[in-house]
Amino acid sequence: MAEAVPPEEPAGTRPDVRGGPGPGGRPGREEPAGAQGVREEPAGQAGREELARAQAGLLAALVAGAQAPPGFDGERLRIQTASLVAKRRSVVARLRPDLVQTLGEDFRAEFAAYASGRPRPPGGSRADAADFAGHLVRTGRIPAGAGSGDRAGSGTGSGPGNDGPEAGSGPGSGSGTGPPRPAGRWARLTRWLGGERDPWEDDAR
Amino acid sequence: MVGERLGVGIGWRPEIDLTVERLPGVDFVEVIAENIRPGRLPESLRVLRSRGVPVIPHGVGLGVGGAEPPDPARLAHLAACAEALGAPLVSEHLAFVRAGGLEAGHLLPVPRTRRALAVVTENVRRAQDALPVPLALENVAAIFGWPEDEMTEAEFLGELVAATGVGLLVDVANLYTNQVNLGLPAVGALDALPLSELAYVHVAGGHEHGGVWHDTHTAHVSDEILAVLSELCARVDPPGVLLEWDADYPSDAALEAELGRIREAMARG
Repeated sequence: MAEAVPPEEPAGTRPDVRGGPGPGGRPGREEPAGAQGVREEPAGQAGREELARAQAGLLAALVAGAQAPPGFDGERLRIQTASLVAKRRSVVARLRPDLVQTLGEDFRAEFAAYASGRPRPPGGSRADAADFAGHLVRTGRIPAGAGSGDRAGSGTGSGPGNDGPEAGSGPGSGSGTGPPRPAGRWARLTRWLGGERDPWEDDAR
Repeated sequence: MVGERLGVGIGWRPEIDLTVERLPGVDFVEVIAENIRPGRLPESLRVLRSRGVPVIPHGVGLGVGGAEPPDPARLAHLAACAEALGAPLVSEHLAFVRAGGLEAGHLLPVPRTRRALAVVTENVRRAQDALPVPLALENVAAIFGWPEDEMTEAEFLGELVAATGVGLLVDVANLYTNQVNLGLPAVGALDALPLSELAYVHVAGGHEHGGVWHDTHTAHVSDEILAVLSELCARVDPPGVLLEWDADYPSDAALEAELGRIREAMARG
């Protein structure tokens, strides 16, 4: 979410350590010739625009049903698309176990039908879950009124709302098989995970 | 940036917070940066920090391989995470995650061309300038390649390291994924990567489906992936090696056993 404000930035924690030895942003060792002092864009605006077009074209094919750009292995893109949908589905399943229960073994196919050619909406996984529920109501798969059971939106749920580019690294529903966690700490954690809006909502972590 | 000894670690996740705290032999952890607020760190991370366990913020949403310059707000968040955690470094991925107003929800490979390299180099420099600690970039797991690719990922990362001094986070599971899916030999990648700039290593399990390897971070690490780790350790003594496990968590004992298998694979190298 490009316009997002970071969650919190502690005052006075951004010392300017650059330019000296030690843990600066740049390593404190010699840079290759030509790297120093080059602040203009070596890539140039044209390079950025070319890359933007290429990546936008590919991503539209992967998540929005657009035609694949020429030269790609279509079968591999299809697998990638299916993998992205599976990732979305697993997060929505964690956010809306009621829908998983209602749809049973149809959950997978229903989500695939919903997500096919439809990118995840702005607002991240919670919005995705809400849109999926709305889709199910419109198609008559669930009764109207049953589409608003977002656990994460309730303030007490433990859903992630945003799982991410990496496989399932968002805070989930505590599906671990280890020993039970004390309620206090887990509750504190889930309170902010579930009850407060995450500024990085659009990240599919 | 290399030289910071990290040891063997595991990805800290809220679901396994107490497990991570009490697992023996956890020398360092990583936390998904976008999942925390620097001013309100989870208690478990504060406990680990109080014991002196390094915690590395691992970003997944910056998209330094994208066409746009990295978002200053995201960079400020990563910087604040590093400060709040007293982290020795921050890590991210050589990937793009959004384009044309769409979010991928995933780490997608960058076209590995000279022209894209120039863009990514500039992006990495901007990120480094905004961070109070060194940055390390991770190789990603890919299902497809770009038709215009001119370099391997190892060559592309090598060029980035030479131009920017960025560190390397080598994910051996991702190397294995690309070997299975794209026919790029993992050992060949190890030979091509500038391992002298290695910050640490990721290890994770996945599964094969229809001839395609899916890097799910939800399974026992395969012997084939551990063999890639051994190959890496035969070439360089890694400052750190970290297990990623992101869902379908096994028992504490199983996670402890995985860390043991990682140590054994390192010793074989």
